[in-house]
Order: sequence, then C-alpha cells, then structure tokens
Amino acid sequence: MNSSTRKKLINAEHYTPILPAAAMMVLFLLGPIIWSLYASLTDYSMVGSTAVNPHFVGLKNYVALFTDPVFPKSLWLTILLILASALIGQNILGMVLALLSQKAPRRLTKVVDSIVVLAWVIPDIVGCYCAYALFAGGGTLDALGKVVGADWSALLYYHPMTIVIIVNVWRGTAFSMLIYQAALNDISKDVIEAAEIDGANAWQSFFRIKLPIMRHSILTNLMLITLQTLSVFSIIIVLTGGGPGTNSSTLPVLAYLEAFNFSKLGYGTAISVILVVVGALFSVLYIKLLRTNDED
Amino acid sequence: MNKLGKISVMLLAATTSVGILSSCGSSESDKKTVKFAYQATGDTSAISKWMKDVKTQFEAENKGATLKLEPIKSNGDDYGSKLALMSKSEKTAPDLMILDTEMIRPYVAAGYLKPIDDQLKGWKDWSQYFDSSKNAGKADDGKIYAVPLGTDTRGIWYNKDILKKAGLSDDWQPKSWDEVIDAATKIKKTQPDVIPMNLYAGRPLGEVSVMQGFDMLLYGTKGGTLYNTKTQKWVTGSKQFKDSLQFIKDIYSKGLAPTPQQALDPQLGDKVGQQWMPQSKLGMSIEGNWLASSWMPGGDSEWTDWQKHIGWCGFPTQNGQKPGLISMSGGWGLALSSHTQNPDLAFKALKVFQNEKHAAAYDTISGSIAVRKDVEQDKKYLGSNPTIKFFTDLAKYSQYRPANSQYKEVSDQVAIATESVLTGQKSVKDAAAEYDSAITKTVGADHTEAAK
Repeated sequence: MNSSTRKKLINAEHYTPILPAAAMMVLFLLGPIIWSLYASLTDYSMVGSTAVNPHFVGLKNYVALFTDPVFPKSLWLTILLILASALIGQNILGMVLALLSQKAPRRLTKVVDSIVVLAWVIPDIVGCYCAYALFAGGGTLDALGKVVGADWSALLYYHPMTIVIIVNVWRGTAFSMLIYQAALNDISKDVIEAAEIDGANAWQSFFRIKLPIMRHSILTNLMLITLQTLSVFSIIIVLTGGGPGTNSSTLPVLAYLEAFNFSKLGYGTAISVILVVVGALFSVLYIKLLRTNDED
Repeated sequence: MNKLGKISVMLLAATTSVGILSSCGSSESDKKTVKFAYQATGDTSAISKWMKDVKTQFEAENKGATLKLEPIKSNGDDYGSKLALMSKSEKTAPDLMILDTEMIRPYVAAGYLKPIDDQLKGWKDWSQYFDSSKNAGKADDGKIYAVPLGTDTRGIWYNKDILKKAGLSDDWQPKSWDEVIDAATKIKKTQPDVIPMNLYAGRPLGEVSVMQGFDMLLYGTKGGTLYNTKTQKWVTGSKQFKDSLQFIKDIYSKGLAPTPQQALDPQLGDKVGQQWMPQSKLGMSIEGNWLASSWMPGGDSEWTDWQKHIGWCGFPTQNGQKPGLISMSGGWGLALSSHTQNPDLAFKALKVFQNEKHAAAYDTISGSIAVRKDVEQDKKYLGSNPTIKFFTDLAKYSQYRPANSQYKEVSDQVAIATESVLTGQKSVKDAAAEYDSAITKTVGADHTEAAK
C-alpha cells in the first residue's frame, strides 16, 4: 500500500461520518440559497401569469433595486440597527451589566440577571407585543404621557427606528451579558491581583488586562449579535410594519413587503440575496479581526 | 409506450407511493372532504356561526362528506399573500375559498382557479344574481370563476346637529365638490372646535385611504381613471388626477380636515366611527356602507339613538356631471381552486353557502350589500340596518378598481402622492409628476400611457 492510497483511505474514514450532516446542509441550506440566487434573476411572482411562467430576466431585479431610492435608505436603516442596537446597545450594556454583576452582592445580581434574561427568554412574538403595548397610541406610555402632560400618542409614527432600536436592545442584551459573565469568570484571579499589586486602578485593570483576555469572546459575541440583528423582523413588523412610509423598512422587512405584499417574489428574493452579502461582509470583517489577534 | 411515457409512469408511480406513504392512506377520505379557506379576523362569532350552519347542512345533504373549515388568521393584505401561497401547490390548496373579487384576474392568470360556467348552468339560483355582480367573477377569457357573496358602496356620513348649526339642511345632498367644500367651510366658521370633514388619505391606512378617499374623487371626475381598460395601460399625467389631489390639498391646507398627524394615524378609522362621530367632533366623513354596524346593538361601540344625530348621502361627482353621484365598490366571492380533486362536491358546498337563506345571512352579518334579487327583498336583510336600502341603491353609481396584479403597487404610489400633498410637503404638480415616474418604473413604460 503506497502512501497516497493510505492517505485516501484515511481521508475516506475521516469524511464518511460527516457525510449525512453534509448532505443535510446541502439539502436544507445550500439548496435554498442556490434557488434564491436563481429566483432573484427571474420575474417570478405570487399571482398573475408570471406565477406559472416566470421568465429569466438577468440582472433586471438588481438594476431596479440599486436605482430605487428606497434601497440605500433601507440599507442604511439595516446598518444603523446593527450599529446602534447590537454593537453599541447590546454589546456595551451587556458588558457593563456583566462587570457590575461581579462587584454587586449576589442576591442583587440574581434579581437583575433574571430581569434581563426574562426579556430574552420570552417568545419572540410575546416580547414584540409587550413592546407594542408599551409604545403604541393608547398604550402604557401614552397613558403616562397624559399624566405628565406630554403627547406620546404617536411615538411609533415619529420615532419608529429609535423605538425599534430600544426594543432590540431590550430583547438582546441578555445574550451579550451571559457571554461576558462567562468570559469574566474565566479570567484567572491571579492576573487581576497581580495587576492590582502593581498599582493598576479599575480602569487600567479593565482596559489593559480584562479586555485583551476576553477579546475572543467579544468578537464571537459581536459576530453572533450582528447576524441576529441583521435578521430582526418580527419586532419591526409588529411595531411599525416597516412604516410610516418606509421609515423603518430594513432589508428583511423590505424583502418581505416586496415579495408577499406586492407579490414580486423574484424582486424580494434579490433583496434577500443582498442581505446574505451584507451578512457575509460583516462575518469576513469579524473573522479577519479574530485572525490578526491570534497572530499576536 | 415511448421512453418519455415510461418515465412519466414511473415518476407518477413514485410520487403516488410517496403521497400514500406521507398521507397514510388518507387520500380516500380526501375525496369526500371539501377544504374551505377564509379570512378570520378579530371578532368572527357571528360569521363562524354562519359557517357552522353551512357545514351542518352540507354534511346532512351529502352523506359521508366533510366540510373542513380552514380559517386563516390574518389581516387583509396577509390573507391575500397566504391564500396565494396555499394556492400554488396541490398539497396545500383549499378546494373552495373566499377571495377579494379584485384578485380574480391575477389568480386566473396564475392558474389558481377553476372556471365554473358548466356548473352554474345547472344551478337555478344563478339567475337571481344581478348582471353586474355576475361580471364580478368573470376573467379576461370570458369565463366565470367566482360567485360573489356581497359588495359594498361608499358615500358621505354626516352629523345632522353640526350641519344644522352651520345652517345646512339635515337631509343634505351636495351636488358637486364645491358644495362639499362650501359646507365644510360653513362648519369651520360656525363651530371652530369641530373637524369639518374627513376624507382618508396617506399611506398608514393603505388601500382604505386610496379606495375610500382618492378613488372616490378620481372616478367622480369626467373620464378620470387610474387604468385604461381598453388599452390595458396605466394612465399618467391626467388633469383628473391632479384635480383629485388638489381637492385633498384644499381641504387639508384650509383646515377643513383633520391635522396631518391625526390623518396619518393608523387607528383613524376606529377613531372616526367610535369617537369623533358619536362625540360630535366631526362634521362628515367619506365612509363605507358598514359604518353604522359598530353602533348597532352588539357592535363595538353601541349607540342607541345614532339615527337622530347621523345622516347619510351620496358623494357627488366633481361638477355634478352625470350620473351625479359616485361610489367605489369591491367585494368578496367564492371560488374553486384549480387543484381541487373533487370539483363537483366543492361546488355543492358553494351552493349551500349561497342558497337564499345563507346568502342573506352573510350579507346581514358582514354588513355587505346584496348581489342577488331575492336577498335584496329579504326582510331580515332590509331590516338589519336603516341605511341599507340607500347604500344598496348607491350600487348603480359604482365603479370598480382595476382588477390587475399591478394594482396594489400603483395604489401604494397613489397613497404616497396623497400623503405628500396632505402634509404639504409637495405641490400637486410635483406629487403627480412623482407618481407618474414611480408607476412608470414599477409597471414598466410599456404598460403606461399619457392621458389625452
């Protein structure tokens, strides 16, 4: 037996066990993605004659999308949602809560943890309706506004994105907090003590010691919450329906409205392909950051 | 047998065996089951009782058969999407469905519906339907695909007390747009705290504000239309379109209508019917025939002596030109899926849904306008609401929206145009020009034509 056949055998032994899983991935993940790529090049629709006889239209959907003034706005809203609610909101608030929970008395930590985690564990649609009941006209804030003499009856109309961002921070902070709590607990006490003995204050110990040690957790967390936020859908549909106008139509909502409300499945699919690209770009960015840190 | 034939037989055998495996032999009972899809909204107790009555009668008349009710819980737009998705595949398609008659043409083009001309020939009740309502179920190929359940009409509802104080008669009937604006101006002068009139506009209410607002204006101008049915093209740059926008601009900029913030509240419809009208805060509103149903006993906001305070009349054409009044109509119909395994049984169910008793009950419960002669004479239907005779008679002025799969997108552009003039963001000319370029882009230049 020469070395190359042995290598092949070893390879076969290595890969056989993952074949079923790989087949499932191809069937249920790669399949739909390839179908979407194809559908985005057609005028496939939900009703009308193109529902039975879709035509191949080349890049027409993409050209229409890139020349539609709604598209840059929608792309910006999507990125704004990621920056404001994931990178800044969930990430920083999660870190602050995790740090505080290390110092605070254990009972208080438990109470705060439960409250934060509650927002995360309740089913999506229930959480969204809770938020709607708070912000909508005739809701809790509207009633409170009347007590203090403010008109908060149309918050969702005038500040749709701000409210969507707040709700997404509320829903998602627990995830970052849990990741960071675990990461902080993993830091050896000796290191922190050594720093304190050397005269490092709390800020220095955080920025110079804890953060660098936690960097892998931070980047993993950033990647996960970014992808999570990229696909936020129910919050927006329940709270604003993407409106008023298109003022809170992020890419997933825009894709849904075009595909199902206006029956243009091909066009909607083109938007979702762009969404995949945006997600991929963020992922590549994070993976690159992760890699350079490894080489340090 | 040629090769292709062999392959198709093999495929057929394979798919049937898979089908049998997956359904565990339920295909036999499928033949005796009629799946019926309909929209279930919030309060459906009366409608669900109606359905149960139909189910009981159908199952008693057809031994061994089942009418399987499949409520689709959703709002208007989502119901259309879900029904279209269900209709795409044989496995999920219902046998019988309720659908917006505006959707018949797009559904037929997609091959989702089955023509029922042959079955209608053998159904004696079909002669009871008015010719105009028979056409509601007809597609471009001249075949009939749906039996209408009912229709609706639109007019002006006004507060008699407010009109009296403004010096107007309490059986008011304006004869032109100017008379409407004149009345609103009088209300504003005599009662500054009252909102003189409401005409829906803008995007938050979607199709409601287009059909009940803008379309009532446009189709009441001479020759005004969104869509030229002869050339099958969308009309751009028409004077009638600008006139209609101008009317909206006038009432909103002169303070004769709600403030922009009020007008763009998605809950405006409920506010008008349940608060502003009963509390005498609004002079008049352009509304559908069903407005009073929430004031009736058992309605969402019961109001026992509403008839003393509220009057109703038709909406006039622009300059009072013939036929004098205008109303927009839509409605729902019953249709058979092209995928149904048992069209005869499905049509039998349709006949039970639309026998005289159940047809009248549906129109009474849902607040619809009758589409058949016998129901129009039905005492229970006529007695259900004092406004019903008037709004039934309005049907002769009715115009219909373009029944075309592109309508929804065009309608959205109309809503955007009305919103930008009501908020004062754009002039009528700019808003109309923007509408023209937007629809040319969405439907394609070869589907539009400039107005003559």
